[in-house]
Amino acid sequence: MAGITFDNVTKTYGDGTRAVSDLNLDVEDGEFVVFVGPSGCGKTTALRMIAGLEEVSDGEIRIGERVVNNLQPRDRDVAMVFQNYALYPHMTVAENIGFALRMRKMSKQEARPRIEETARILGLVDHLDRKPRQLSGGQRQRVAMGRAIVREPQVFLMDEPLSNLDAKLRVQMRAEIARIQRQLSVTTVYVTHDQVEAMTMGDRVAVLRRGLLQQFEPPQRLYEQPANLFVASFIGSPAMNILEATLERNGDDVVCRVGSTTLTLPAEVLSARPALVSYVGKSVAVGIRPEALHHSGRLNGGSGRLRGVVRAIEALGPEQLAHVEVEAQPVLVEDVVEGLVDADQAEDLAEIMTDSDGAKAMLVARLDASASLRPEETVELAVDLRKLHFFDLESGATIGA
Amino acid sequence: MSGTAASTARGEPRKLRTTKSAVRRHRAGRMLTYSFLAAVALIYLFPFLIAIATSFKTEPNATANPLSLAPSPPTTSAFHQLYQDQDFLLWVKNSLIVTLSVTFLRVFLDSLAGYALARLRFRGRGAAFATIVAVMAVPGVVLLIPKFLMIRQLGIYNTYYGMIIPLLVDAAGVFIMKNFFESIPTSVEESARIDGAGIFRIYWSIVLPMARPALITIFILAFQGSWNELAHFIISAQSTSLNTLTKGVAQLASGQLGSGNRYPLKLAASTLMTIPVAVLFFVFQRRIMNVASGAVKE
Repeated sequence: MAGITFDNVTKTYGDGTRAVSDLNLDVEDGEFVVFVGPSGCGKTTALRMIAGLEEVSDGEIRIGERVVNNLQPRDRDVAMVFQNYALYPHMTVAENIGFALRMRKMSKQEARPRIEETARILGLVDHLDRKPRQLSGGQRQRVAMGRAIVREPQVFLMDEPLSNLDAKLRVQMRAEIARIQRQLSVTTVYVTHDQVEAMTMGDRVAVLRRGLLQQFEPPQRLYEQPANLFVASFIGSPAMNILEATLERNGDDVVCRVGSTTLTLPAEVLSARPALVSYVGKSVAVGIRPEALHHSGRLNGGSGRLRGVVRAIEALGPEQLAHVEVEAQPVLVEDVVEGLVDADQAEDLAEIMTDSDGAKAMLVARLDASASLRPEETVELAVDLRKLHFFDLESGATIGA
Repeated sequence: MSGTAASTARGEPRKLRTTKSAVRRHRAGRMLTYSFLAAVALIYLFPFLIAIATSFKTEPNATANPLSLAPSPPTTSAFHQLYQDQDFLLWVKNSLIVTLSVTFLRVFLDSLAGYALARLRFRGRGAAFATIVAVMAVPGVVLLIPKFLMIRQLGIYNTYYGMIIPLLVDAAGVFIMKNFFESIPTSVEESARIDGAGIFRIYWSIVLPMARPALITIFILAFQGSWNELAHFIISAQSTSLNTLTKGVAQLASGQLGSGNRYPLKLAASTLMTIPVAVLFFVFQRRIMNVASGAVKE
């Protein structure tokens, strides 16, 4: 068992592209860490550097106490699950799982019980003599897992292992991988572009963008206290609504002006974010999670109201998502756009971007199913002001202490 | 989608009216095409059919009706004659030695070179591959005399070595193998690397089994190529004890074996000569399939 340390790790390719810049990160022994980010953010490169499939251009990677920069993959005691499974097609399931043991010159008598135990954990016992092509996608995925588990390595590396499964199976395997990891408590680094996977599986999540680490924290904290605009818009589905706002002083209060609406910030919001005061008179980006918006009348005290027109409603059963167009300036800096992985919202955004005056923003509100809404109806949404997020428009950084 | 649906709906009534005559016209056209193709195929097959038929003819019959496909009376005497002919058995032996050596070694060497060019990073890889491709453009005839001179210089003239070694690697085979190896997902090899396999182990235990379709292709090409090779054996050996089937039969055909045209004898030898290659194609045509299926999720 061992942790993993990235010490100022940089990866530069021959053509000068920097896939990973100056990465510093500690994965603790037995921890399940997820690297997440949009494609091209460097998450897979970082993973492959741990495996030894990519050379480290600068800095140091340690597994346990050992610097592994110049070690061959086989000498690092890591096991990897690939996105496409990378099974050996001409070998049976048992041979696939046992290949690494064979490479270690383990005798057949010694290897067999380990292969069988692994197959038992993964429910593959009945398929040991089959070839990969006779298996379903989910079973192939398990074989790939089995190849990693059987080695009892110090570190598991997983490169989007679930992205080729259908949605239902993915959810099932998500839970299963998390269970197996807990059971074996092997240090695990898991790469995905899917923020839901990241949120549900990781003990801690590292959000990467353009080779730079944005934030590395437990999922809930990422959600509640995103470090910047990118993380804010990337984490959460539907994504955070981000609008341009101006902070002004109104008597003793600080108010947040969003379009034609004025929201008076409660004292607790200001005391939690002392730096906000210095933004009075300036524009900021204000972030509102869909669940911080309520159908009017639901919320008393500590709330303000935004008025808008319902453009679309998505009924999800226990709740509904309302797309409401409000008079406000959307924040369309790259940080936000790049973070939007949700196609719906990207579409909304594109629509607005083509809008000539651009002074309208589409908000997504997660409302109770009982709220009766009709398309094209004008509604008032109550905003839970204690749950607002504020970001510097220039740097994108969150405005906090 | 809706556009296509609408247009089919509109086109339907007219279609119903024209259906019958259209089908008839279509069928007639197809028959014409097929009979033309069949005729062409027959023309191509005819020389071979004549060879087989003639090998079962008596000599007077073959002389009188050279183009007839029905031997009258049919006889196997040409084959008996060949079987008793010591030379013929020697040719078979020589052909087998050369062909089997060339085939197995060529499959191995072509795949090694192809793998290196596909996967290993080394200085000059691009230039090496470009040279190999360029070699494919050089007609073999051009190289016959230089090869002859080199074989003599190396002191392997009139030996099996001289007949075998120059045929061991071929540019086309290396090219085919390289392309095939490049189509194998790198993740499979990376997985093997992490599992602890070295380069040769990956090549031997992982990549080679996955490359079976390409290996079979090379095997067939190498077998057929060296079994049917003539020019190279002419320049690499002179001794009749090193005659291969091709050389022997060619000499038969050019009339070095006594009087008369001896068509049945010559064509019996030719017919026998084609059997191994024919069998090879027959055996392998079913085996050429995609063994990579199931390795990775596409």
